[in-house]
Amino acid sequence: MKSLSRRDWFKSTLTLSAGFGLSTMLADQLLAAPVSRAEQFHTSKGTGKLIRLGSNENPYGPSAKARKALDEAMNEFNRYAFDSVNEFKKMLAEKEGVSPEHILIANGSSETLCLAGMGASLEGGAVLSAFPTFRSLMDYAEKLKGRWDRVDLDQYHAHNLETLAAAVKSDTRLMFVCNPNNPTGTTVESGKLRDFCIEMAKKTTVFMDEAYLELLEPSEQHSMVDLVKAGHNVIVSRTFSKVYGLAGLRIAYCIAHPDMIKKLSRYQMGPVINQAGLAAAKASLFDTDFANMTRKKNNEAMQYFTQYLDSKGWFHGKSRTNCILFPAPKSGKTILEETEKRGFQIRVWDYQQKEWCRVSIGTMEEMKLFTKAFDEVTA
Amino acid sequence: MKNQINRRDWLKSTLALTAGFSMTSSLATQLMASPMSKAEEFFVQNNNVLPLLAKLNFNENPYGPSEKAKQAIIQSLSQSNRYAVQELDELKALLAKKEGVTPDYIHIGAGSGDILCQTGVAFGLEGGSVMSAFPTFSLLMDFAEIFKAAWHKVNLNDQLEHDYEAMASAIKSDTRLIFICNPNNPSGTLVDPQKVKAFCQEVSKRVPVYADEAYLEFLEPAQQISMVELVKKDMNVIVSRTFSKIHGLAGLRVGYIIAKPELINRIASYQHDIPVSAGSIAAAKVCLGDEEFMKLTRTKNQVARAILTHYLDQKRISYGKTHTNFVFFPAPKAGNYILTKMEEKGYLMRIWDYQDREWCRVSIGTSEEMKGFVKAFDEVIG
Repeated sequence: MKSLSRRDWFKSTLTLSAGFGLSTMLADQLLAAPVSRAEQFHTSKGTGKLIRLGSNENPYGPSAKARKALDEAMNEFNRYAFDSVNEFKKMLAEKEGVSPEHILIANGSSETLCLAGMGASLEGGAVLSAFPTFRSLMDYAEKLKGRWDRVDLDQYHAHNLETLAAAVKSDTRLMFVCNPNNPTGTTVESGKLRDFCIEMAKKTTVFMDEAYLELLEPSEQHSMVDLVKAGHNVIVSRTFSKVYGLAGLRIAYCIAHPDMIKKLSRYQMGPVINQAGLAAAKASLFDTDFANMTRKKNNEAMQYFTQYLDSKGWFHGKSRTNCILFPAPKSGKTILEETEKRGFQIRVWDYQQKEWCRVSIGTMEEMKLFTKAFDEVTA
Repeated sequence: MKNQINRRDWLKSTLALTAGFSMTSSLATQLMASPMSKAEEFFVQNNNVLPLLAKLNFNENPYGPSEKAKQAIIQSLSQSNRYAVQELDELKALLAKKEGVTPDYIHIGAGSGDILCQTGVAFGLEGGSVMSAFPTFSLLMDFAEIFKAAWHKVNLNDQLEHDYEAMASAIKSDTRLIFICNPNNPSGTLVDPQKVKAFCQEVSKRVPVYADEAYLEFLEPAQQISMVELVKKDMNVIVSRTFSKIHGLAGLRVGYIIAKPELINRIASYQHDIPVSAGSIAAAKVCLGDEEFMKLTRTKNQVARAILTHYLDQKRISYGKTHTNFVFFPAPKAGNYILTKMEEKGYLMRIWDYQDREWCRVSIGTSEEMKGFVKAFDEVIG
């Protein structure tokens, strides 16, 4: 099972089950790969419209500015995006304080992850990460016969930098670090993380996934981009899917040394960037009002939900993002089935012989409805 | 040298050494499909960005996107904060219905280029070689070369058509895949579908055939004879289509293949997660079956193309018999001179190296653009 990709394995498992037409659809919905046995065996009824608390989407996007920009760009959608990609690269370079050669624009951050996974595996080594974390990079590396070394989070569900450092081997080609981490939402103190990255980058490439960093208050957004600027072997990845609310439009980018960017872009699968996403992302980039609004509303809804968890006495890591992980109060299978019956989609993780629920933060109203439903499910 | 390393990288690294990287990198990216000649390599290194009258370099559809597509995109906007996974399944179901197969025979990518590359990985990872005619659309083979597979090229015949006899007899024991493109890019030529079908039937017993039909829909509907029917018989044939050409959605990146599930799974496993944008899916859905828009494109393309072919006839410049939205002909002057002078006049086009000669590929714009192009080109070639 380890040697073949989980997604494939999942799909082939489903193929054996009844109703292939339905089950491929579910496999695709869980594209990011099932993360528990409960998800592998959960067959969605696929009826009705669910409140989606399963994919860490931003319920407030896209912003009015993004919509307007997309609308205005439509006459150019018959043209390949080469020119717009270059323009956007310059904008991003300016924002990040690097040259355009330090930037790769990607078809969602899953593309930057897959490109890095491909690059690492083709060099014939291993990738190292905490577990659980966002796994696209490692899944892709495994597909190309790379090895995934993983190290458990600490007891507070944060990255354990000591055990990670100790797990670096001579063939570790890349270390994946997700800060804040998905699915736990936890962060690592930035000074500690920076020292760690500098140290690790001497031995291996450090891939910093900062997809959720912008959900923190601006003063707390300590990016590792300055390490890229200082010439360390670090790749920083960002996305427009989260704080900007453009998940459906597939725009992300990474910042790294020009040689690394060249290497990654070599594996990019043709001109994949879409004009609709680019137009919306350009307009979103400096839309601080929208980002602030998202942050504020997300914090309020998150606070409501963590209070709910606390009132139940359920452990959770300190989440700074729009998702939170806590121990499943009932069997994962029951929870998936029963929450879906009540109109909600959430995720279940397997970790350390236990099952865990990951709930994305929707609007306050959605969270109120969800806690009510979840009370019924777990009663 | 160029065969060893990927052309795109080579071009970019060459450019990085020259002055003004930010300017030229933009052009290098524009020629992402890789430079096709020494003239193009030189051109992108020395080029100044000038105001354009017409982009006749990427075989884009000047009439797209359709009003229907635009409306659909607007309607999809409020949901584009969500990953478009269900929507992709819905599009898959629609495509399956259109092609007369089940959804497990369909795989959708961010443009057909995405899937060409995935196929390049799937069939290039274990070495061996991939075969195609030359020149043709090279993305699959370029990508396979990154993964250490060799690109086995078989020249077009004198009419600039795929030479299927030569290709069939050139198959070697290490041939992993054969790529064919009908009508062919860059030559625009079409081979009788019955002949192509016979070829596919025969050789697919030994090696999978990837049939790129990106430009098939520029033919009149009655003449659009696809290889899909072989897929339905579960032969080792993969058919590729795109929304970039007849539907005018090049900037939105939607393409798909039709093949038996075993081949689909092999290729799709190398796809990056969640590749297609919500707006693009919405647009593609309404473009399917929009006969009116396709007819408009087809008709206008034929009229505009005739302006260029009449001009070439007058000049006694021979060209491949084109069935698409581009024309391929021998360069009457040095390729770099043509590229430079034409850009000065506001027109972008492409130059190919093939058989120790240089060739022009001109995409068909609107009639007005083609009239302007012909006038400018005539001045340039004197």
